[in-house]
Amino acid sequence: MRLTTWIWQRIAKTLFVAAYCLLAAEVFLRVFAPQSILPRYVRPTDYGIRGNEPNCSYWHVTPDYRINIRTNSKGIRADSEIPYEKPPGLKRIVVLGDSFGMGYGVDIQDTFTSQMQKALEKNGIRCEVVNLSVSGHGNAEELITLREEGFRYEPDLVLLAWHGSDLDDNIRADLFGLEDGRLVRRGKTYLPATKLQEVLFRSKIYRFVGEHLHLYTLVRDKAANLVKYKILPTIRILSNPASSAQSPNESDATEVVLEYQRHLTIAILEEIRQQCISHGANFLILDIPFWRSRTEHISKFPWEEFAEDRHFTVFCPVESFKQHNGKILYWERSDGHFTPLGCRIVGEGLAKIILESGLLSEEILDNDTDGGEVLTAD
Amino acid sequence: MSFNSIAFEVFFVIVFVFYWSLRRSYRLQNLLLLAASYVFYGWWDVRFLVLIALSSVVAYCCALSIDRGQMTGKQRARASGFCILAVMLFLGLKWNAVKFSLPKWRPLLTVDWNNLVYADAQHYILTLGIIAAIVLINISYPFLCRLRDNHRRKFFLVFSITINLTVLGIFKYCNFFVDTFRTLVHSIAGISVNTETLNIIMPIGISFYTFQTMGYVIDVYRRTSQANDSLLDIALFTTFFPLVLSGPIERGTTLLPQFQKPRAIKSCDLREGIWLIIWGLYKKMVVADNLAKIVNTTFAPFDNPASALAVPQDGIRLLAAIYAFAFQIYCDFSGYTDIARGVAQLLGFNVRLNFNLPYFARNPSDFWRRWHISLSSWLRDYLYIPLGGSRYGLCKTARNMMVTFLLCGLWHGAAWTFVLWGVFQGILVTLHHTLTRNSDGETPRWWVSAIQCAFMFHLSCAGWVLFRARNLNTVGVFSQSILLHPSLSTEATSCFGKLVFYCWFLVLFQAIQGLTGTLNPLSRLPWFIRLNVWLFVIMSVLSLAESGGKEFVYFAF
Repeated sequence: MRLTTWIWQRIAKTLFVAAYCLLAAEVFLRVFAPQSILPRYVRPTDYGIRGNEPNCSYWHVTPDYRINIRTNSKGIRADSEIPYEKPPGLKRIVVLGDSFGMGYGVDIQDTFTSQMQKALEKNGIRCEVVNLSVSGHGNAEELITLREEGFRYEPDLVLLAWHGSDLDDNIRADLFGLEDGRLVRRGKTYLPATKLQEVLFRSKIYRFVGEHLHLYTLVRDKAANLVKYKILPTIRILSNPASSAQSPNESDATEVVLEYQRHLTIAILEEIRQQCISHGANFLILDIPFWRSRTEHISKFPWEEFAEDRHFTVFCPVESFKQHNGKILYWERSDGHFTPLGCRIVGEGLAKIILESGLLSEEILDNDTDGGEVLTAD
Repeated sequence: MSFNSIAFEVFFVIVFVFYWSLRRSYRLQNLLLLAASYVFYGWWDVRFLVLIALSSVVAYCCALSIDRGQMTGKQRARASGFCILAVMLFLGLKWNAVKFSLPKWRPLLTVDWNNLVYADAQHYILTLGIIAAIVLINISYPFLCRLRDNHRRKFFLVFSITINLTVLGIFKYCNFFVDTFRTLVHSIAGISVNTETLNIIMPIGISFYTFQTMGYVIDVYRRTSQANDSLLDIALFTTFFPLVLSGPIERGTTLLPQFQKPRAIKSCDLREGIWLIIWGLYKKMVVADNLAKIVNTTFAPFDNPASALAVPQDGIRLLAAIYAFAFQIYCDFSGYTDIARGVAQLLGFNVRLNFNLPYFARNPSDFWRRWHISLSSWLRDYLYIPLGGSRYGLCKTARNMMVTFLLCGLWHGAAWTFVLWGVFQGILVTLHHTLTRNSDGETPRWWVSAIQCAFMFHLSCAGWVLFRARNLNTVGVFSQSILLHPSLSTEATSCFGKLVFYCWFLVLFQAIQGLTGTLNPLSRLPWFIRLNVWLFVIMSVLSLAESGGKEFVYFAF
């Protein structure tokens, strides 16, 4: 056989094997391990953090569900436009949060914010929800979103959907820090991989791949987890050994970091509350519990630090979930967001708390004077 | 450092590259391997490197003294120096006072000099005690060597075994014996003995490396192996990182010669090594870790001896959990061994087989020829045969078997359930031996073999209940539920569904291994089928593996 023929044969075989491997891997995943395909279309906002891409429509497909995500011209998950000016007689609730707040896992009419709105309207309150949640946001980004965008909607109530991942997100974003116990602004922007995504999202092929291919989703998620949970923390520790050097051993060092996380979180929440007071809005926190099993839901809210300085009104639905023990409240096979039932319980619980506490009344509740409260809907 | 962690992957890539770049000098390669092995083991806890270093030195000195009659001054100085260095480095220094950082991407090593040395009395006493013992041994050594040949050989053998068993006894069995003593005194005399349990941490892999060094010294004593002159080789033999945590328990006769010659790696070895690693990861991360969820969920309510739970009415679910545990324990341990063999193969070493399709065994004796081969053959060669083996009639054979399996059970863990498991296995093997003493050994027909395999699998499952149960109450509850309430529930169906989902490929692959009579049937298959098998296994590891990298069950032994 001539050498060139042999080389061409090798190249052809290699290409065939490569193409076959990709195809077979995709088939394998579809049959044995379907991935949760949850594309996230975000873009940089004018104020230096991520915001949802406006006028978008895409599908979230997981082994549990298939839902359509639609955004309006301002990047809000909604089917209609929401003007900044508040119509007279209407109460407005601005929602801040991450994917939980945005209502991942359920159709728009089933999100806990929609359920809350329905429950409030049943009780005769004309209200409108402005959901400014963006998947991936932590409290630091939520504070900036509220300042730059949220107050423009003239809210009567600001509802923050707090999740345990915010503790870590607040550190990772490095938008705010604590100096002598005071909250200070650090980074001007936090746009992780957004530039790259912007370029990639322009390509229709990339969008198709991101929305349909299980292999791509698997590789992207693995790479993202590796970078997020292994490489970046290692680099952070290596580049700033001070935090660990202060402590004699590793577990103490971890405790120092966790304590800082909790204090920073409380400081950001306090800043949000202060901003709400100055803009004439009430402030309510929804503590989204972690799911361990159908009967075990755990709150990761920094209760200890919270107890030192109880200014907030926090609603934690763990007790309400206990009444539905055994039922599927979180999607178990895919991404772990709320099911429609989970959303309904949370939404109705929130409505009850808002009504009972008068959070949509004209009066601004400054909990500085009467102490904060931890509320359950039972 | 666990084989299924990212830290190990990075560590191994670095070691692999440096190791083969030193291929011109196998001695330098050995030195690198020793350093890497100490890093690998010390990753978990630096202090326990002292034990492993002392174990190496004891084996080195005792083997030389048995074989040569006396160590040279140079050899003694080397051994003493190694010991003192190990004590100073691993017991005297606080390694977390040394920090590596990359401020502005510039590597920086900072040492907290004020905190570098342990300053408490406990550490001083321990360090000085070990150093004093080394000095004392060096002083008394010339007198010991003047003993008659036979007595000297026996003395050093007994000394080596005593040291190893004492270390094992203190670190693995001390709490067990204290607790048992307390319970016994309380139940017999009604007296509550207020003995503080010492809360001793068991060093990972201690049972493996102590047995390995003991085996080496016994081999030298029996003159089946010669003592090795190189302390480096013995230290590496004890600490060789692919084997140190969970075996296989290697023999000096097979592993030491491999340290003493240059290594080479062919492309087929490379391919087979990588396959063994991936296949091991599949067994561990896909099968064992996923089945662990079924097992833990089912067994957990019974793990607390104080909780008096009712007998579950769906015995089939408990049966599914036992089947799941049978596959979990097999895949966890054999997966580790496969990775260990694969890693060793990539470094140019051949490590013995530890599992040979154990669930295809047709009888208890056959099972022990296939399950944890390195331990069962160790016990056979160094315990069962010296006790008399099967040479002195049925009664003594039965006694020897029972003693061997009782210790086998105790080796696995310091708990009565493990002892009972050993007794159960001993009874099975003894019964089988007694019943088949006069059989002609003819191979049965295939369907008879299949029935025997199925029966043996269920017998081993019965043993696994004892092995997994944290208390004897659990064994009773499981037996009652399976035998008296064998009804199906939706959970049971779900458990069986998961069992089939995670195990079908393993069973199919092992069936092919069994039918073709080779553990590597891939080499006989056409390249396209091979490609698909590789793809299936790699994709399973990537997509079905439990996140978080669970620890290997056998680390506890």
